Amino acid sequence: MFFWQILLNSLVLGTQVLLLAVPLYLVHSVCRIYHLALGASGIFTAYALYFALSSSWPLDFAIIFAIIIAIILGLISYRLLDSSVRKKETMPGMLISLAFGIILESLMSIIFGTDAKSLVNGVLPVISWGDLHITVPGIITLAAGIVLALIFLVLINKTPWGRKLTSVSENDNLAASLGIKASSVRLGTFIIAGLLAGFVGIMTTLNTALVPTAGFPLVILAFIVLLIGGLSSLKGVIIAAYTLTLIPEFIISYSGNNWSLGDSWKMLIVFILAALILMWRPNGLFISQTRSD
Amino acid sequence: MGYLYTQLARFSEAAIMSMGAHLTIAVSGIFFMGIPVTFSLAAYAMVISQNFGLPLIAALGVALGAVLVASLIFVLAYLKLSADSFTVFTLASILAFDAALKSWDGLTGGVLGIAGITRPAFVSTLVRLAWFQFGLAILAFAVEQIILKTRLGRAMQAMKENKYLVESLGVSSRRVGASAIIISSFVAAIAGIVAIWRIQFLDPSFGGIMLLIEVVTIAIIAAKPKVKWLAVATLIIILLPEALRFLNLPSTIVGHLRNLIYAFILLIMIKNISEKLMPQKRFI
Amino acid sequence: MDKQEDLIRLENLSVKFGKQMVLDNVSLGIKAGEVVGLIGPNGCGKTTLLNAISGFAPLETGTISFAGRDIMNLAPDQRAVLGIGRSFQHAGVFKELSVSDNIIIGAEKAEKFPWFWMFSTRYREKMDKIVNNTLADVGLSVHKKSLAGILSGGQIRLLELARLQLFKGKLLLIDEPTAGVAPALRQQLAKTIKKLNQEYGFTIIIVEHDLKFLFDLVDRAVVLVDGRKYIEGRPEEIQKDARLKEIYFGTSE
Repeated sequence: MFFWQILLNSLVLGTQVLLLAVPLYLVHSVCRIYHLALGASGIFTAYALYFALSSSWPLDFAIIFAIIIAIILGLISYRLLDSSVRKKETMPGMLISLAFGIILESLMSIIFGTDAKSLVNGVLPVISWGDLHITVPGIITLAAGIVLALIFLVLINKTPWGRKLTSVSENDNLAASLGIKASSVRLGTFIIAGLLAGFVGIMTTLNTALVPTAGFPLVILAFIVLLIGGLSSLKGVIIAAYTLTLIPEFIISYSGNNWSLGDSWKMLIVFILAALILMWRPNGLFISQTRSD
Repeated sequence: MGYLYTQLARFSEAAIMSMGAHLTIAVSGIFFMGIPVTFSLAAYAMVISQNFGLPLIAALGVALGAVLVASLIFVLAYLKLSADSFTVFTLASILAFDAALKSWDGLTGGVLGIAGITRPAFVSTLVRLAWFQFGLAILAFAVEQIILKTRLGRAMQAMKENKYLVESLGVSSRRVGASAIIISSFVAAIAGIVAIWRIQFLDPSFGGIMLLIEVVTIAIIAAKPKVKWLAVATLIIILLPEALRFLNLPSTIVGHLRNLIYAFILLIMIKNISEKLMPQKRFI
Repeated sequence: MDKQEDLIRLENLSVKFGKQMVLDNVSLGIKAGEVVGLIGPNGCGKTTLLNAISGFAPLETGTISFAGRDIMNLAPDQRAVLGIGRSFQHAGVFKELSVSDNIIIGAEKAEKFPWFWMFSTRYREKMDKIVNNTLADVGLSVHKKSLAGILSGGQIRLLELARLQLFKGKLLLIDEPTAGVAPALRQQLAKTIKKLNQEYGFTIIIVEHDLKFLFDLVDRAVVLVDGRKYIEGRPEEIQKDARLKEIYFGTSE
């Protein structure tokens, strides 16, 4: 595969990772909890879509159904984690999230079985531009990534909601003393996270097979990106997402391994890369610029 | 009879491993999730060494050496990262290790695994193996009991309560935490080795996240730093899936249902007993 | 004391953390327009009292009524909307927001700007004026676009009080305003607090250790010791109390 194609593939994959890392970042910002069920939640939404499509529902109904499921999962996650957030117990919260993810995975395995399913029958349409090829989901992913990045940049920096989000992330008691309801901000964040995770779940499994266990590696990868990028910097998350995707892709492509082996090596390479970076910068590559006490 | 001995063996394996989880999670307050890694690593290291012709003792040496290296890496991560990040990092290590097993398939047999693993002569029958494991389980409980009574054990419990206070009393919380992680890693390794002697078939599904859920659930149910709670919790968790046998469910579902039940118990337990897990903090 | 006139009234307040009784049966009534100081040795429960009023500390027993209304079941953000403003001991501003955003976040809520206000020129101009005036008042105009995290402790305190000016409320709870503030800035601080009371009409409760600073500002002071009300009265009267001197300046025990 030649350079530009690899680059294009990496950009699509990197955007997928970013689209999961951003909700993870947002949830962590407002609750200080790593929402480990996010991956399973996204895959569950993908299964919801699969169920709707294989029951021959019309496409728009199926999509609406998936959206509703994603929102419900966001609501459930919020309710499960809310008491931990209030008591400022981040570790138990994280374990609750992990347990919830396992519950979702087990449910999916029981209901749908562990054999790989496909969301669409047949081969996905591919758009070619000279020697470059990109699948339609790939384009959608890239477009979504760009649109999302712009929306978030504007949303977080310039709107009241963004200010509320930043203030609740930093100090929810102070925000409450200004009349800002932290719980609404959190609920909104969880729902958005559920929707984004659902989108990533569907996009990922359009390209590869739909299996119940696909969620966990996704969320762990997103977490590594978060850790490397620095937990308080959205900019860092963006850069880390693409770096941690590009480097392994290039390593694998230029080392002549065949594709299926590549996926396993990828997780390992990312992990080793992350471990090395963390040795050098334990707080991530980008930390906030504020004066410390 | 074979059924009962298998249960005895399963209980013992779980007990040995859970002692490590208990020591780190319930006693010291360190949410170390790398137990499935050393569990599986020890088994793979031993079996692969034996396949290369090494005698048992040497193979065990290789296994324990590998586990030592892994545990030191975990300790390094513990020292550098914040508590939450360390926890997820160790979770990630489970996935990375799984990836390594599947990538190096020349060595590890990849997804298909390694079959036909032989038991050492002294535990050649299930009966002998089960009693041997039970002996190790009793030993593990005894060791934890002893540790809890020593200075190290007290320091571990104090560290969970208030890390800074412990430091100001001249005890290095880093060393205490590192000890807990290393002990936990080794104990998991021992469990992995004796478990593989029972199952005699090794593949990447050995250990993994499901093992983690099982072990963490036990450690959390036994939230108090008392060994007898640990024993009871282990018993409950091990016997639970056996109750499912009487329901005549299709075998494809049983495994997932078991995981569902464990995860559900874990969720309920954490929601209800988190005050025992995390001490009360005054904020503002 | 005519109870109807009290802006805020605490009756038999007790707060417990774990097994420790931090506030023990404290009763207090404050009229609108008063400036009341809250003093006492460390750990006597001053901050906890403020926390109880603003809703961050659950009550073991007792009642709090504000403007004739029972507020114990209200969450902190609801109490803020009702008109109880607060400054904190350690955190006053959002370090991750810019200085102007720190003002805006308070103002847009207080002035009840609609959520789309930044798209309307009229509202944008109004907010601009508010921000510029407020920053000029406390001498922080030059830092308008910087992140609040780069400000020094004293500047943070001023920014915080500036933001409180915009608060459309009746009661301000100010926690140790001089902590970490250089003596030179304290005059400015005192001026701002007086202004909050006299020009903006806030009733103020101040927790302070710097007695000289405090006694200049307050009409009345309440002394807490070990979670209980020890004495209360005008500064001149309290200053004469022998035990107070012991508490604050120590004896050769």
